[in-house]
Amino acid sequence: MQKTFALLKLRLSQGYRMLDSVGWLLVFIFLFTIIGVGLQFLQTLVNLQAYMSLVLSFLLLIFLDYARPDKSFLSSIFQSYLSLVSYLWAEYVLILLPIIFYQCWKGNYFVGFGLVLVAILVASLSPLHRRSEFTHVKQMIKWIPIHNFELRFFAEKLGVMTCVFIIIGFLSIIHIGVFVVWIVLFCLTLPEVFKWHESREMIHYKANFVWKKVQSYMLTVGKLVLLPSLIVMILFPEMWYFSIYLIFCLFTTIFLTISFKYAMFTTVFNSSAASNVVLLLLLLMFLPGGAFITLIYAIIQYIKAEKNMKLLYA
Amino acid sequence: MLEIKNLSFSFGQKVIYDQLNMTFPISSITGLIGKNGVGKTTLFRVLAKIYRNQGVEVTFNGQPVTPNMISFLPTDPYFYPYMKGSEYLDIVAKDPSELIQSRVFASQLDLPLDDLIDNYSTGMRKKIAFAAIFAQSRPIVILDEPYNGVDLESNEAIKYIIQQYGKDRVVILSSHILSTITDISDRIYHLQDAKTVSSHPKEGFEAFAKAMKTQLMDKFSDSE
Repeated sequence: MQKTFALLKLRLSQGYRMLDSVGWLLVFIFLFTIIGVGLQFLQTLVNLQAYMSLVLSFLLLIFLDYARPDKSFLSSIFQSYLSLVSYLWAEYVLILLPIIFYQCWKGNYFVGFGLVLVAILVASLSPLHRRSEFTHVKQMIKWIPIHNFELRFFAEKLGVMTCVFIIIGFLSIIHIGVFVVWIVLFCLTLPEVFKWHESREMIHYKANFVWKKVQSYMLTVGKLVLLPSLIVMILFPEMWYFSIYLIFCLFTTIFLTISFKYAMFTTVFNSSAASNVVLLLLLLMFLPGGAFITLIYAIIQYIKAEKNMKLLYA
Repeated sequence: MLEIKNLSFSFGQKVIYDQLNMTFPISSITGLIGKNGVGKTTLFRVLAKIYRNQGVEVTFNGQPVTPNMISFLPTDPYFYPYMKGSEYLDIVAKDPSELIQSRVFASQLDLPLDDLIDNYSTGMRKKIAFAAIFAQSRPIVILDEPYNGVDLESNEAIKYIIQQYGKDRVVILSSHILSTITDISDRIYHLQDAKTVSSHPKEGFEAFAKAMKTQLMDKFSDSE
């Protein structure tokens, strides 16, 4: 129990330190906007039924649980299955807390309780899954071209989850909410895809290097989202403008993450292109018009990136 | 005694081990050496139950080994981002006595515990993980390349800690620098391939090192 509290305290401190490095002004603007506008906007726009939050929260937690890199570490520090599950449950309830509060505020107490049960379910299943990278058996995903190696290697690393993720896209037939979550997850995953810089030898510089890379990724991702997007637009024609906005958000994310990666690129040492500012700007994008703010930032990063690459290679 | 019987393990079609047997007495330090890719880390992961069991029988004093009995220092330990050294020791320790012990090790290894681990060097990361894991009061300790990236002074400190606090436990460690193993080990297991492992007692270390060197020199001169 003491360990669970110590870990939860650490996780909260992590959040605090991370936000501290971003700047509290940006965080507060973001929080006010998302609480004031975001939730209401989503509720009204997609007319999300309360029970759907159970399904979507389950999918969200399963995705997070599958991708978390600390599983072996957690198994090594917790003495029993029960203590490990208790910790994971507490952590997942904390993640779902805003949705639980929101549902209770709306008077959907059973859904709120159901969300707590969803957290228990995912936490109990968690120790059964081990990360596939330890198996040394890699499934090649050849339909993603090798020049899009960041996305290809990431998808290969996640293995089965990639197939599940693609299938979820087609489940948009059920409800547009699935499409919303799908695109949001896709956007939030992209900074992780482009997190690490390749070695300097892997870059074959040509003029407009960054733009060509962005174009190539837009084409690959475009092919991937084409069918689910068409399904949504045909089945939910009254939401066509919303679907287009989401796709615009996805392409903006590609533009932003690639531009940011190469704006930070250095040949001196291997560094990470992860940034909390990027993550917050991505979240901001899902508020009405937020994508345009993100796009402006992306354009600035793009100009920096082209300059940076020209300076290093041309 | 830690006993591994019929160790067979494969990644799909690739056989890593085929019916190997090994024993590790209590109060002994055993060094594990072998070429890159021969399966040292795989063996450790099998023991630490990171890999699914493929039929290997691992017992400690006749009882099946559970993950709670093993402290495992991986080659590349995991750390949460934005975590301080002191917080890492807090969460790895089971109780206050383990925590105090890990802090003693950390001070012997000159670690700045109030700094974020993100700002640590490779060697410092290895040292903090070593301090936390070696302080766990579990009977089996597995150290996968504990000297990687560690400075000379800390190298000696780690050797000292292993010798002093490894008593009454089974300690298994791997390294690619033979002297770091021969200095403190009571026995060496040399993994050669999926079916062959040779055991060398302390008194045979010198002869073993010489034989290894001659074998390598012959190999190089043949290729020339």
